[in-house]
Amino acid sequence: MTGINSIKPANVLLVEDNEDDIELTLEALKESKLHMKIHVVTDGISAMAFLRRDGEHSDKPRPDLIFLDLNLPLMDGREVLKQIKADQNLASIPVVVLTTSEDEEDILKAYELHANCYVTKPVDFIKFSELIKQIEGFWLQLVKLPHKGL
Amino acid sequence: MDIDVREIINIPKIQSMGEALFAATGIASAMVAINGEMLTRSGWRAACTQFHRNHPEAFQACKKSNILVRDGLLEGKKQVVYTCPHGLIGAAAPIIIDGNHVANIITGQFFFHKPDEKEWHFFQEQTEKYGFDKKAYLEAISKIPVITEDRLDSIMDYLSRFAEIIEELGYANLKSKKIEKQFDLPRDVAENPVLERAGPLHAGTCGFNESDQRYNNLIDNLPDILYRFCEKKGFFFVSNRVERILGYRAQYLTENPFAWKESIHPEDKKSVERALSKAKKEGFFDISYRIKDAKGNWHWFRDRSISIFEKAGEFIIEALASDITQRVKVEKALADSQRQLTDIIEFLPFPTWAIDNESRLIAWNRAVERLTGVEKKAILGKGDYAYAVPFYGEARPILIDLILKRDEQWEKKYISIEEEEDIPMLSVSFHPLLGEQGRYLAGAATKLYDAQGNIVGAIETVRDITDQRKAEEKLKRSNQDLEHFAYVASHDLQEPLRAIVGFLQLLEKRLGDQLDEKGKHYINRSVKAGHRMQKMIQEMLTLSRVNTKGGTFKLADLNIIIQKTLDDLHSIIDQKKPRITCAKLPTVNVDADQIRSLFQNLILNAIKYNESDTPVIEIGSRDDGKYYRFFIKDNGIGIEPMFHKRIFLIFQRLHTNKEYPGTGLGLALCKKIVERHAGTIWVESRPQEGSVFYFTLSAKR
Repeated sequence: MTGINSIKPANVLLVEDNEDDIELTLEALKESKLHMKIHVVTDGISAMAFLRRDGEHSDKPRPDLIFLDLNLPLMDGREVLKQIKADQNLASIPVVVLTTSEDEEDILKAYELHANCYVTKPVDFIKFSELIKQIEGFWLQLVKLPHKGL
Repeated sequence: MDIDVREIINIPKIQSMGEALFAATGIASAMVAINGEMLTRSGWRAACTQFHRNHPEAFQACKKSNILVRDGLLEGKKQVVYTCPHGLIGAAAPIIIDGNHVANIITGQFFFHKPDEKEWHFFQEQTEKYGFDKKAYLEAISKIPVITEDRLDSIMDYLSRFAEIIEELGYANLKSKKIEKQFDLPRDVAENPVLERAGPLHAGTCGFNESDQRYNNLIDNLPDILYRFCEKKGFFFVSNRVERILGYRAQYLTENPFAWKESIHPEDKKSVERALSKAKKEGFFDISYRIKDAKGNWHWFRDRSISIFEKAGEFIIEALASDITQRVKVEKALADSQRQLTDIIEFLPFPTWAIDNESRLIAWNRAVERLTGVEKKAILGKGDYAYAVPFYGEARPILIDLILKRDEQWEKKYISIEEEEDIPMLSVSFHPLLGEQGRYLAGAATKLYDAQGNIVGAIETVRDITDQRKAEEKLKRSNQDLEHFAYVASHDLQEPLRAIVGFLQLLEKRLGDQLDEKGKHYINRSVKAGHRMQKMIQEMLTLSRVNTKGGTFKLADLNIIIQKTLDDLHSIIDQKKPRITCAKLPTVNVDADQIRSLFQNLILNAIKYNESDTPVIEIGSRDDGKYYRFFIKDNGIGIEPMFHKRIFLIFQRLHTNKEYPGTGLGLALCKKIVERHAGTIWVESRPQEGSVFYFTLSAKR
């Protein structure tokens, strides 16, 4: 975040409605040494508008990684996931499902909808920030993804 | 069997003995066959022979009297004394051979005292009534001996002894006859030529052609009785078959042409009369009535005219009478049992009805009248599924039909339907037409069989389970609500908890250098409490999922499950090195994952709450028939009996977290799992004496 880094910053979209979780996630992401630009939307409809660059979002970048909460107002996280994966332009963006649910059914459903990764938010912040680091490392550094949709 | 008394008793000999008796003692006697035929007669009084029996009308009264004697003797008495219709006293003793009452020995007539004035008056009346020669008749009466009752006793004694001798002789003869018969051909009909005897009496008037032996033979071998009857003269021909059926010789009936009519049951006489007078107009009759045979037993006859014609101003009837006693009995038994069935059905408190094997309604009780509002009289006897209409608004097969004839198309329409061999078919159905908001009915139907095992119909009964079902639905809903609540609550509780713990940790991390040790300690304690709370929330979730997210039941070998459980517990087993013995366990229908979790919790507790150097754990089971009973026995610290119930409640702990770490979920989870498997769980234990945990699982194989 220093701007000195010549690498183009990665765009991360956080779809989360709980303010505490937003702040904690941002804090966890702050701990990361990666150069990131984080965008936050708080409901499913805004998430889809952001991704499709509708209206006020016309100038928004295409994110490199999406953190998606499942329980969202207006449009459920599962529906958001379904729409992303059904959209040719968006389907290749890795989506990390982040929830409190450990319910096997939720997990299965998410994978059926082609979530790239499913993460249960731990209560412990230390563990959470560790987890975020690993996710970023995997999706933003290790894995080479096509930059545009097919 | 039918016994011809003439064949087994030497009648002329008896006749000569009777005559000798009269000569020696003045006692008159006679032997009369059960069909009324006079076999022997000696010393009979002039009053009888010259007057009573010599006058057609008076003789009919004598005959009637003979039937009275017969009836009295048939009641099993050794002898009877009776007053004849003409005021004279007689006595009779039965002759019973091989259980058959074949004849009577009769003595008479006499007085017990000299006729008094009133009695003389009666005899004078008789002379006027029958037109007797007054002087000769009264003289004959005065010659009738007067005997004391003592003397009668000795006469009767003699007679019954005499009857006994005849019985014995007759029995011996009967036996030897039977042996002969085994080598003999059936008796030729010609040997018993009633037509030849009866025929000439009326030859040329109404008799059949008696020379045609083959024709006679045919008639006599008909299963029915062929007869000819004149309205005024009575019977003048009857086929020999009558003797086999009623025990009267054909000759007896032609000699007593109204005996048949008189033997008709008093209750049936009127309808027979009516049928006859109707027959005269219409030219035929077909009636049923009861008639008494020679032994006093009632037979049901169906009597049908062959032809009715008029000859010389007389109606002559030619008819066939069949003995339908057996059929009537069977029909009556059937009607009785059906009547009994409908009585039982009527009595039942549950709506019940029955159909015959042609699917016609044969019973519809009051309870089903109340349920459907359809009265019995409006629906009884109806077929074509008419009885389905009050339930479904359409004529269609219902359970009572489906048990007789399976039909998948209709069975699918039930909420549930089940049939196992030899038990009633059961169903649950909903009927929007019944009641205000429809009714749920639990039905049971079964086939009805006769004694031969043939299906004769079916019966169905239903129980109104609307209230029960509504209560069940309500309970199910509220259980679901509760589980959903637990699920949602624990989900939502985790969010603020994460915020509390997260920000505290951030506080320590980012601003830790501004805190003293105490401040750091408080943060530490808060974070730990948060962790524990999170664990509890997770366990509540687990518990709420036992029912909502349980797996399917499958047959599982518990020996394999135990092996997997011990693998799961390897770290604690490596650490505490318990000695675990496990007997061979059965294969049961279970949710394998839950049973694994059940064993895991119970074995873990057995190791955890154990201070022995070597924890010893035994696992085994017993087949209790309906259930398998499992046990996990340990040599651990034991449990105070007052806590035996409490330990199965969620978050109830007997120890601090420091002594034995845990949240108090394990046994609550075990209980919920066992209950989901329709079993029970309990403990037997005392402090320091170890514990045995038991649980049951249904053994339905």
